[in-house]
Amino acid sequence: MKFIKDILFFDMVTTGPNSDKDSIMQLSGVLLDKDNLLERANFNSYVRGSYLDSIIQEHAKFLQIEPAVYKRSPKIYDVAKQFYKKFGSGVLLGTHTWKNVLFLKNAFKKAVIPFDYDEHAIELWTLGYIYTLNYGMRKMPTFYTFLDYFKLKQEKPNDALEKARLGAEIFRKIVKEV
Amino acid sequence: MNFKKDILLIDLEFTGLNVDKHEIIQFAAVLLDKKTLKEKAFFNSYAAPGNWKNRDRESMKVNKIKSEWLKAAPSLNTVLNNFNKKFKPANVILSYYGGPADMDFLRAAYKRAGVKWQFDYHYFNLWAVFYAYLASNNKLKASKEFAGFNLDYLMKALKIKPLLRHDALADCRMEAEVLRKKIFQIKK
Repeated sequence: MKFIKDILFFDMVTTGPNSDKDSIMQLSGVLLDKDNLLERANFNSYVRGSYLDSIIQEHAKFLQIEPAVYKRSPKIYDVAKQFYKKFGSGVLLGTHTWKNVLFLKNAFKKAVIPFDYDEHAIELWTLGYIYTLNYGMRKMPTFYTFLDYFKLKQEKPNDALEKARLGAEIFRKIVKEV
Repeated sequence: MNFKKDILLIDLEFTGLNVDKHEIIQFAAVLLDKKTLKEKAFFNSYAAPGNWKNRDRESMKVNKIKSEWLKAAPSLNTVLNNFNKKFKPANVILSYYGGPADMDFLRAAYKRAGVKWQFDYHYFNLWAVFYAYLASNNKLKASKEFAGFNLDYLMKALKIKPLLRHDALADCRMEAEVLRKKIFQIKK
């Protein structure tokens, strides 16, 4: 197996599904080596979306972290800058669905960073769907369908880093068999 | 293959690649049967640009669309409404080949036209399927391409006769033909 570029599998926890209205609460990514798909580096940051204590409490509860930890986390434009600085743009993006790419693009716009990644991206849902179809599964899958199918366990339901790693593991399992 | 819904594969041509500045000038789609992947219906329309002066010369060289072809074309709003009448979003899986530029342009166009976007956010990205297959079989050989292959390379490898490249409808049909080759087989 040999990919041309390293693959940056990223995931996020957001306040809702609409990239125009909702915001990122946590952004994470794992960089996979192009030759063996093993993790080479990772990124993980919570994103403080508000100074209001009630919102901080609410988001921290959802993320299952201490409010004090969440309160100290950077704003989205700083997180986007760190994310970009860490991996550069010479990688291929990978994520569960295109919706995450939209959220990332908006974050880059806020940080005034060019979104200069290659326009192609690996969408795990597509690969997972065609893979499970090959095994006769009829329903439209979700991320959790793939976890069940590959017997992968999610320890923390609202953690973007764990989700990025699980996504990467699903990806490894799929490409091994095609 | 037995998809839950029919696959609606779209392809667009634009006056450039900047979604804030450029416009869709051709919109094509083929509807593939969920069981056979055979074409059940198609859609193809040019769209009159609102600001032709903004066009990017390099992009226009790629799509080769002439201004005279667009003179009698309907507005993009009309094209979107016709598309929406023809295909019911709830009954299809929206699909595209390549990067998300097509989807960015399409969503932005819906927004500007005030037409509600009713497609599910799970899109079937053909490029990702082909890329994963080729990589896992050590077939990414085109070193000049970012990802090690392009559609022309793939069609040649699969012995698919090329149609008129960068015509949106022809591109849709070629991408569908690659998908029908069932290259993504599991080594059971």
